[in-house]
Amino acid sequence: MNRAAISPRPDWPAKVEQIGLTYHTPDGRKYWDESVCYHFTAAEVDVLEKAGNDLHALCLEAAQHVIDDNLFDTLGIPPEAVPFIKNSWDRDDFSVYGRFDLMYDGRTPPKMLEYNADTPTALVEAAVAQWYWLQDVSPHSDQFNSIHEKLVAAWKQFGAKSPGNIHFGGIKDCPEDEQTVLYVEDTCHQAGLAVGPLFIEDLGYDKVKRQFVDLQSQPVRNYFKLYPWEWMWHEKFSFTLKLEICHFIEPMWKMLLSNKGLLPVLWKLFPNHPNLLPAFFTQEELAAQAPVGAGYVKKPKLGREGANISILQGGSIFQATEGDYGEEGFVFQALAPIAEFDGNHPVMGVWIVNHEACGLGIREDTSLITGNLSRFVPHMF
Amino acid sequence: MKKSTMVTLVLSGALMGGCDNRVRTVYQPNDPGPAAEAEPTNNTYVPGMGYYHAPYHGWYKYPYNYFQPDYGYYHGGVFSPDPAPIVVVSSRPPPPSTFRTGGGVVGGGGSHIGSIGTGSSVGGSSHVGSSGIASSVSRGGFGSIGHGGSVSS
Repeated sequence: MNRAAISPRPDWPAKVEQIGLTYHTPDGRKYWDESVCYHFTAAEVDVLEKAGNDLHALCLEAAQHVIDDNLFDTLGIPPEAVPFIKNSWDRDDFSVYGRFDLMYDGRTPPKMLEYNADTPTALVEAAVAQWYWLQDVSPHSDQFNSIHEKLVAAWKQFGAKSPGNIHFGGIKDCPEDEQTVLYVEDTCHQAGLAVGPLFIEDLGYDKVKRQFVDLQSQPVRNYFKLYPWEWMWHEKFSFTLKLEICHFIEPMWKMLLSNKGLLPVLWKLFPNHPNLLPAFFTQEELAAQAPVGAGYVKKPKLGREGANISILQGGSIFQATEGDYGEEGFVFQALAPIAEFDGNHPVMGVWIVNHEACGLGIREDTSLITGNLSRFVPHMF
Repeated sequence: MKKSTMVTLVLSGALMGGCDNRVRTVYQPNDPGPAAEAEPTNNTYVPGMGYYHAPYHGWYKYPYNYFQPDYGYYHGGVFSPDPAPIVVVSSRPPPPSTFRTGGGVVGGGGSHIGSIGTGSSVGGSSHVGSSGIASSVSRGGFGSIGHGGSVSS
């Protein structure tokens, strides 16, 4: 595994915009960065792929453990959501995707930082933009990236189980989210299903017919939402979630996997697993049960884009980010061995589609904390 | 090989092709009519352009007759105390709906604006629509929580 400087395509902004990556330079800051790329060996890619598959299986076991031992409160999940999460789990409601964030340096086993299992983004970059980039710069090379065809295949499977129109939506006025939703909608469309856009703010509820409706007052029975479950349970329409009148994608049981409270559960169930880091619900547990000489990370159970994360070394804060998260509490995770390439710290985003690891997107930063402005860098092998 | 053999964009790829292409994506693929010349249906939403208000033949930030408490009803780029009247879209009849399918456009609806949502409110509460009949539809019940940007993780 190495990081190499390369020449960007002269017309790269137009090229990535043409395929939906319109947010390549937000506020003048480079986000899509094709002036460098990461090279892997096939064996290293196999390691990442296996880690993704193994961790996904472990997370499903851990989710079952949360249900069996009634740990919902420990994860900060509202009590009123519990019966419906269980129903969603028992029905095995369809899940299309998720993304593990792993620390990996090509030498030691990948370590799980978190599982973005509900509203992962950087999808257009991983599935589309870096694929087209590779076609231009090194078409005979390979890339850990069959995300696109796996998404299309997943939607075909969904369509066979749940026929009917599918609406797609996230929040308004957010180009990144709009493009992500549009791309997922595109893959569903290519699977032959009937699709249509509907922002989540525009999702209507008909109290007479007891159904969701779109702007044309047509029923909404399947809805892909790029919007977090934990927010939905705290909003005015939360009562509609108890009616179970819509197939939401991602499904409600993903609340168990997208919660960083799962990290201590995983460590308790699978201590010393090579792809896990010691993690606990309290700082004292971590100090007592794990060597944290390198330091540890305090993360909100429900947080996004690297917000409200603190890295502590030697008892004091080494790096920290601000934000609005943490109301549900925090977890404490041993600091992963830091991968560093030319002063940059890459995080491996391993994509899971329909329960299978199938792609990689890399984001790097000079900071140890990957945030919403960390650069996306393509890869090949 | 661990990479996709082909990455084809049908909807999102066409999005960046310019204004005409953006409109065309509404009916792609296998649109029963000449898509490039078709006028979008009322309230068609296209990222980067907004909502199409058929009577004004233009794109605006909010849906047609979007209701905002203390502001009123939005149509044609302005809020007014009253909803826009129900009118027949002056363009040729659009496809039945904006739903896209691999087999063509599907769904119900028609060319009358009144049939596509004027009775619904946005903003979290029901109200009396232009027809004078109280709507049973509320909107805005999700999407109120945000942290100033993408919900991405």
